[in-house]
Amino acid sequence: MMSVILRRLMAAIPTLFVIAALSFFLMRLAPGGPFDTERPLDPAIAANLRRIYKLDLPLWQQFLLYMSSLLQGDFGPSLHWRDFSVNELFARALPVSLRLGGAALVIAFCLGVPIGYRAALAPRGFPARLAGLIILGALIVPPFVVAPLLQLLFGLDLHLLPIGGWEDGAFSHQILPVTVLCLPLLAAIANLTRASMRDALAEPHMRTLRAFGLPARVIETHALRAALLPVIAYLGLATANVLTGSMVVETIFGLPGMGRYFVDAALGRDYPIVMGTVIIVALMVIGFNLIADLLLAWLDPRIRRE
Amino acid sequence: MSEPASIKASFARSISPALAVLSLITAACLIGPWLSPHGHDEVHRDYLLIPPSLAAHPTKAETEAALASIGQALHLKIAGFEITHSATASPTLRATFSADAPIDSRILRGFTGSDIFGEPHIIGQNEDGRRVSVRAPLRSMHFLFGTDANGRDLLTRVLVAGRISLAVGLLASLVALVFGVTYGALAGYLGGLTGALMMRFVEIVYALPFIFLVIVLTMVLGRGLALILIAIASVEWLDMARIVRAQTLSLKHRDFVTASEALGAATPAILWRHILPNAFGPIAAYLTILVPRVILLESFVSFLGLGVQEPLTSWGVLIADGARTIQSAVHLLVFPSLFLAATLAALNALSQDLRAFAGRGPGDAQ
Amino acid sequence: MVPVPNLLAPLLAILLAFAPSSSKADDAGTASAGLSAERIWRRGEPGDPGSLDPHKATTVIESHILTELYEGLVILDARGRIQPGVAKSWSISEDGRLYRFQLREDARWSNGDPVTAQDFVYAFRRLMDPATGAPYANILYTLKNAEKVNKGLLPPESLGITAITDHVLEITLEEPVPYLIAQLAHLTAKPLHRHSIEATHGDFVHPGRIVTNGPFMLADFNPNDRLVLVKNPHHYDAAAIGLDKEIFIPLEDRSAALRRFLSGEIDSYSDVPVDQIAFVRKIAGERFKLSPNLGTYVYAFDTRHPPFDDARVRTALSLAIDREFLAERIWGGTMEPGYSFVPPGIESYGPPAELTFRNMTPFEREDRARALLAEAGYGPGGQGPRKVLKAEIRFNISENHRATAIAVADMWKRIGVETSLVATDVTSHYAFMRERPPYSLLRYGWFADFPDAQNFLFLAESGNKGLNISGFSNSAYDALMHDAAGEADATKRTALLHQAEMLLLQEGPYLPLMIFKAKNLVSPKLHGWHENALDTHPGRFISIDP
Repeated sequence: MMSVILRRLMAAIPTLFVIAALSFFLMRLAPGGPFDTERPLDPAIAANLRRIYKLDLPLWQQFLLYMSSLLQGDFGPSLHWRDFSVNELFARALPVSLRLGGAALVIAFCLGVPIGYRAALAPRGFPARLAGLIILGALIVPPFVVAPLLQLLFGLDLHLLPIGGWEDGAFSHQILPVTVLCLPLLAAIANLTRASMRDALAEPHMRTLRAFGLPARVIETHALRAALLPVIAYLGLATANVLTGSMVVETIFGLPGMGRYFVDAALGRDYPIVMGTVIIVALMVIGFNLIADLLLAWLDPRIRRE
Repeated sequence: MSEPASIKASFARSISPALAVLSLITAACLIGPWLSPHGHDEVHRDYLLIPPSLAAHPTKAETEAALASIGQALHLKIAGFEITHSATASPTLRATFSADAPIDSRILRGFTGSDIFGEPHIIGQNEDGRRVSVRAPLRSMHFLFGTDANGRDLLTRVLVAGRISLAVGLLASLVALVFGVTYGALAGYLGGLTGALMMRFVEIVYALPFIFLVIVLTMVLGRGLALILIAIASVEWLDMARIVRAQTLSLKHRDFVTASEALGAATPAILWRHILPNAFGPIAAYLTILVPRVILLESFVSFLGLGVQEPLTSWGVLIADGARTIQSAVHLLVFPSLFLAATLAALNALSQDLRAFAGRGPGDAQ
Repeated sequence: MVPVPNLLAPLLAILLAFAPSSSKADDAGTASAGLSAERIWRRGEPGDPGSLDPHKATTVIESHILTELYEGLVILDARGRIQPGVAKSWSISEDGRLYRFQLREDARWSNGDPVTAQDFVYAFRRLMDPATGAPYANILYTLKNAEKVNKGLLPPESLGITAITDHVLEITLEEPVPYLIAQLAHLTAKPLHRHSIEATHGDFVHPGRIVTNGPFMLADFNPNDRLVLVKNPHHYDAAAIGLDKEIFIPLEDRSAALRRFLSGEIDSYSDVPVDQIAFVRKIAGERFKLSPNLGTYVYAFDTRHPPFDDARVRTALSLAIDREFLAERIWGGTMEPGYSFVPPGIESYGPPAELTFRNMTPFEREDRARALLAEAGYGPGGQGPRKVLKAEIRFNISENHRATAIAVADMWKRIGVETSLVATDVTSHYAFMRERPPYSLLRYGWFADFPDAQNFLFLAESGNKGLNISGFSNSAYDALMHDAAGEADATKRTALLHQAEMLLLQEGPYLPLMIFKAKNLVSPKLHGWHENALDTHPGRFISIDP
C-alpha cells in the first residue's frame, strides 16, 4: 500500500515536469503578449518592458528561469496584477474556490449517490422518473443560465439572498454559488450511479446471492460498492476541476476565486498566472487520481491485486 | 431469454420514439434552413429583436415606424398615410410626403431594401412637386421564433446551429466511444507499467491549458468547424478512459475473463466480448453527461473567438447569447434550449433502450 | 448496514461546518448596521485595477482610483473641469515653454508629511527612468528631454522639471504645447512619497505601506473582490469631504452588475449591458445616465496595400454606412453617430470637422459610393472588367462589436461589397494591431488621455509608428500637425488642427462609425454626481444618503 503511494508520488515528478514544459511552450506559441492592450504601447517602451520582465531572453532561458524559481516554490510576479506576486494572489483565491468547490462536491456526492441508488432499485417508479427528469434538466441547463435565474428569483424577487459578492465568505453569500456548482456534478454522479447500480444488480452472482436468501439490504449494499467504481473513477478528474473554481460562477457572482484567473490570465497573456494555474490543476489531478485509485482498490478487492 | 425475433420487435417498439425525435431534429436541421423563407444570415433591419409570434409582420406599429424612418432619412415630412386591407391583394400603404422644395423622384429608392414595403409607385404629385403620394404594397413575413439583435430569423438560425452542435456532439461521442473506451480498456487490461504510463498521459492532457490549446490550434489549422471538433475531441475522452479503466480493472480477474485467457483468446477479443459488454452501463451513462457538456463547451470555444464564425452559429452560442438577455428577450434563450433539451432527452431514452436491448436492462434483474 | 443514511451524515457534517461562519457573518451584519452612520459609496466598476502605482497604471479604472489616492498639480472637478490641486496658481512664460507653479503650503501626505515640489520632481524623474518601465511615460514627452531620458540617452536629472523652493516648481517644455495643464491631470502626473517607496524597494502598494496625498487612502485591496478607500484625515479639504469610505467592486458581468445595482447592493456602476438596453431604460429609468464621452469607435483601413490604399474605395465604404442605424438600433442609443474623427465636446477645439456627406440622402450616398467604386475598378455593371470588392473586418470578440460588424457587412452588401468577419480573442486582436500584417479593416477604439484634439489627430501622423494603425502617410497632414505643435497662438493652432481633421476625413484612413457615450447607473442616494465628457467622478465632491 505505502509502496504504491510512494511509486505514484515518484511518478508525479516527471509528470509535473512534462505538464509544465508542454504548457510553457504551448502558451508562448499563442500570438500576443502581456503588453498588448487596448492602447498599443510605444514600441521603445514595450521593448523596455519586455527587458524588465526578462521576456526578451531566448525562450529556453525563460523556461529554465521559471523552473528554477518554481522549484523554490515561487510562481513569479503577475504581469496584470502588478502589485502582487502569483503566490499572494493564489493564497487569497485558492481557499475561496476550495471552500465553494468542496461544499458543492460533498453535497453532490451525498445527494447524487442516494438518488441514483434509489432510481436503480425501482426504475419504473415515479421517484425514479422524477429523478431522471431532474438529472436531465441539470445536465442541459448550463451554469450561465442557472446562475442569473437564481439571482433573479432569490435576490431580486424574493429578497432572500444576496445577488453577489463574497463578504469574507458569509454563509448567505455561498448558498447560490454552491448550488450552481453542485447541480451538474450531482446530475453526473446520480446518472453514473443509477446506470452502474442497475448493472451490478443484474450480475449473475447477485442472483446467486438472492437464491441463497440473503436479505435485499445486504445484496444492495454489495451492489453499491461495485456501482461506485465508475463514480469514483469519474471524480478523480472532476474533483480537480471543481476545486480549482469555475470562471462562470465566480464571474457572475463576483467571487474572488481561482476560476477568474484561468480565462482572464490566458486572454491577457499573464504568463506566470497561467503557469501557476496549470501547476495547481496538475497537482490536483495527480493527487485526486491517486486518491481515487486507492478508493477503487478499497471498494473492489479485485483491483487491489494490481 | 425471449426469441430473437421478439427481442427485435420490442427493440423497435421501445426505441422508435427516441429515434423518431432524434431523426426529426436532425432532418429539420439539415433540410429546414433550405425550406425557410429567411436565410440564416439575412439581416432584417426593420425587425430587430422581434418576439416570437404566429402572426404575420409587419404590424401597424412596425409599418408606421418604418415609414417614419424613411421620411427621416429622406429629409421629408409625412403629410398623411393610410393602410388598406383587401381580401384579394396584400395590404397596401398610401403615403404622402411633403417638403419645402420640389421632391426628387428618386425618393422611391428610400423604399428599396425595406423589409416592410414591396415595389413602390408614385401615384400623385402636386404643389409643384412639393407633395408626392406613394403607394407601396406591404410585404408579409413570419418569425415564428422571433428575431435576434441583428434582425435575423431565430428559427432558421436555431436549425442551422443544430448542424454544428449535432456534429460536435456526435463526433465527441464517437471519439469518447472509440478512442476513450479502447484507451481505458487497454490501460486497465494491460496494467503494469504500460497501464500506469497511459494514465499519466491522461493526467498530462487534462492539465494542459485548454484555452492555449485552442488558440494554438487556430494558428496551425485556421478557423472553422474542424478546429472546434479537434479541440473538443482532444480533451473529452479522458473521463471516459478513466471510467472504462476502472471497470476493466474490476472485471479482468473475473472467472470468465481468466477462463478465456486460459483458452488462448486474444486481447482484443477478450476486451470486446467480455470486458466492454460488462462496462456498457457506465459508458452509456457517461455519454449522456458528455453530449450536453461538449455542445456547451463549444460555445466557450466560440466565446474565445475561435469557434464557429458569424454568420454561422451553434446551439451553445445561441444559448450563451440568450442567457445575456434573459431579462429582456427571453425567446433568444428558450428556443435553442428547447432544441438542445429535446435532443438530449431523446439521446437519454435511446441509451436506456440500447441497454435494455443489450440484455442488461432492468427487466433482467428481476 | 444501511448505505443511504450513511451518506447523508457527511452532508450534515458539511452543513454544520458552515454554521460558525454563518454566525460570524451575522455578527458582521449587525456590526455594519450599528455603523450605519458611516457614509459609504459602493462603486461598481467593470474590472479591477492592475496596479496602484501611477507609473504602472494604464486603464480607465486605474485612473478612477488613482484620482482618489493621489492629487496632482491640477485636478478635475465633478464636471470634469480643471481646477487647482496641489498647485494653487501658475504662470506661463512668453514663449509658452516655461511653467512656474506655486504649491499650497497645507498639502499633506497621508502620514502627515508636507507635499513639496521635490515630491513632483522625484515622481516625474521616476516616471521617465527606463528602469521603472512606465507604459504611459510617453504622455509626458512634452517635458524637455523627456523622451531622451525615457530611452536612456540622458540621465533623469536632465528632465525639464525643477524644484525652485519647497513650494515653487518649474516645468520646461520641449515644444510650447498649450495642453500641458490638461495633461497634468493625467494619472502619470501625480506626486510620489519618495521615502516610503525607497524604504520598500518599490514594493510600496500595500495597505498600511502606501503613502498618498489624495482625498482618500488605501485601506484594503483583495483582487476580484473589493478595494476599500477611507477618507484621508490629513487632506487639506478633509473637513468638506462627504464620504467616509469608497468601496470599489469589480463586476465584469454587466448583467449581474445590473441586478446588484437594482437590489441596492451597489450604488453605482460605470457600464450597462448594452444587449438589453431597452430593458435597462425601462427598469432603471432616471438612474440610467447617458452622456457624451471623449472616445471614438472606428474601423481602420490598411492604407498600405490595395485595395484600401485608394481613398475612393475608402470613401465609398464610408458613404454606405448608416451610422444612425448603428448608434440607435444596434447600440440602443448608447452611442452617437460618428461623422467626425475628433469627438465633439473638447472645449479648446470647438465643434469638430464633419464628413461632407452627412446631409446627403441615403440614395445619393449610395449612388456616389457605387460611382467611386466603379472609378476605382470595382463593382458590377459599367464598362471594362470589374472586380467584386472584398473586405474583411477583424474585431475582438464581444456581442456589440459582432452585431456592429454584421450590420456593416449588410450595408456594404447593398453596394456590391462582399464582407467576411474575423473575431479573435482580445489579446490576439491587439497583438495583430501591433504587428500589423496586411489586413483590410480593423476595429479600433480611442479614448482621450487628456481633452485635446491633438490626442486624436496624432493617430494618423506617419511618424506615430505605435498608434497609427492604418499606416496612413500623408506629407500635407504631417506638415499641418507639425505646424500646429509649434504654434503658440491658440486660435491659429485650432484652425490648423481643424484643417488637419478635414484632410483626414477626406482621405479616410479611419472610418468613423460612432462616438462613445458614458453609460452609468447611479442611485438617487448619491449627490454631487454630474455627467461629464471625461466620465470622471471624484469621490471628493460626492456625498451619499445613509
